[in-house]
Amino acid sequence: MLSVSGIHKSFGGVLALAGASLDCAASEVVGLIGPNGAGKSTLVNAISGFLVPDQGMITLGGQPLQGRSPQEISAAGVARTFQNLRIFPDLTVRQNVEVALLRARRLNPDRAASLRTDDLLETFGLASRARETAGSLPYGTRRWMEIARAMATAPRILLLDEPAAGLNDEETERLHQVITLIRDRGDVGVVVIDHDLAFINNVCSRLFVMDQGRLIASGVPADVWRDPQVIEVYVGPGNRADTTEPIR
Amino acid sequence: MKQDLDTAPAGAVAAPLPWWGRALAGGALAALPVIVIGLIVLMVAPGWVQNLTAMALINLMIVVGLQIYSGNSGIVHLGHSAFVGLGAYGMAILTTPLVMKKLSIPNAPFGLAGVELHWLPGAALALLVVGVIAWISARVIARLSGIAATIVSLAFLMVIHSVFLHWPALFKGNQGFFGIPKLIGLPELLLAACAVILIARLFRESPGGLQLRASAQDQKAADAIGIDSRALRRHAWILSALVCGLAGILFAVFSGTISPRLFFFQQVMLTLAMLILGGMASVSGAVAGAVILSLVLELIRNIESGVTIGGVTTPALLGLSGVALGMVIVLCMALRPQGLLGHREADDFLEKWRVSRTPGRNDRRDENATR
Repeated sequence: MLSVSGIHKSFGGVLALAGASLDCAASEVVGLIGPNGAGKSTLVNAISGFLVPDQGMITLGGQPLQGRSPQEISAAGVARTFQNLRIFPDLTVRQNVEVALLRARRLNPDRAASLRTDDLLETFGLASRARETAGSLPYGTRRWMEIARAMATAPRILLLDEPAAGLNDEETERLHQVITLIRDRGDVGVVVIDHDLAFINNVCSRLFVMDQGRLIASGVPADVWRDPQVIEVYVGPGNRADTTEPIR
Repeated sequence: MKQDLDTAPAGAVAAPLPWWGRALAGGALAALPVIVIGLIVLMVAPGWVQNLTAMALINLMIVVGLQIYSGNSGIVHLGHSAFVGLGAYGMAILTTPLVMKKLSIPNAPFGLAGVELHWLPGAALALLVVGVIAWISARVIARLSGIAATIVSLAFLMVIHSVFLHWPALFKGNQGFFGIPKLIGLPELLLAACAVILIARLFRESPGGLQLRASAQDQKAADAIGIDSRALRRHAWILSALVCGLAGILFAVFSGTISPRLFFFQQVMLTLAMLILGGMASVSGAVAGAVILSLVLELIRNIESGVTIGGVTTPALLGLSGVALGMVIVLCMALRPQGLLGHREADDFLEKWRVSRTPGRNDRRDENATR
């Protein structure tokens, strides 16, 4: 459904993306991983319209998305969360979710018809705090609210930018359940970026590995972790064991 | 997604009122002190107090009009008095009797010297003119956010003020425009003020108002859920202008005389201080700020000219009210930048108080400790 290929983006002289690719079908969870600075968040920003790629193709269900505004891309069915949580702090939890649903009912009446704010709040364990001001919530709860808000846009693709960052084991387990639940709806594809590799291995059926703005490997996790390039990026150069330099 | 992931109790959220129900109920609550004060003044106060109250109500309408744009978009607006002036002059030019016009603007362009409308079509046409000018200016201002929008709104004030001053054939320039029929008094203004409070509250709670408030709090998050903040800023600007224009129209037919300087910095600063004091983000805040500052400034004006307490007369302290106005802004910014009421409406406080008095209403405030 979502298909991204050959994305290039440079900032001044720095090449942030040099041929990044990705695809995700409905009812699938794919992982996007790579070391810091690999260009993962840049790619998410390009897909969601927050920056315009220099070249490359992004399509959703065959419809081109590149060069369109974030609003248009959201209307087309791409929802996202942010690495540094972005919430509406002075609105209540309920309003944070409802405001996205109001917009979706206007832009995507068919897809949004079955969504209800109360259902979303309950699914994400927010029902009991619905009337609280979002700015007073603890970190983990804000994260659920951000995902609930993204789901309220009735998306076809959900991009989660480091959803497990800052969560404890119990919360990460719940995040796993939430993502599985979204996948099982059957009409939403999920792209997860994260550094927690155990979590990524558990939740994703396919992985895309990026390094220096390029896609270096993709496939089912078992295959990806056997890829020499991936091993090199994550473990270090192959001749490392032969060097006399002590490992600190 | 019906499955329950958490142990969230089913039906924990009581079915809330629809947005317009909440807006009308909350608006009525915010208008209540205004109605009470207004009725008391109407029944027992002498004429000069009634006049002061009438002027305070006009200021209150301007503050509420200002809140519609600034409060929901989070952008400080310094040009709202231009719309007050446009409404007032529009009404003056359209409804002043021909006899008076022969004296004041005999050479008015577009054949306006020979126009004398009944107050209702006059007011409607004046509002239409305000609306058209607001629509045009909105196309520029809605593209901007933050300080850029504030500066352009100030530039807009300068332009309109300059036109008032330097087009004497139509606006009578620096001299007062007199002879406007005095049609209304305190009761009509009281009614209009309540209507304006309800309009502002309806906009705030409407789907568009909620989306605009969200985009003011986090533009990127709003973009990501598809909110068209430009269109919403445009709507808020136009509605705000219409309310300010209405206040101007009512001012014209209340006082009978207007002049350009009335719709300039003095009024901008006074109404802005009222809004900042009460809290920009809520209509109740706008009302509270207008009421409190009107009372305080009236008190200070009395001290200003010297008072006699127990045989001792304090010296006259001219300009004290100007100093006080500046102090209100400074102190507010330093101590409570969000204003007295913050982002809460009067009914939010009532709700919070009710919840805190009803134990066991699934409030898990203790979880804040895990933050």
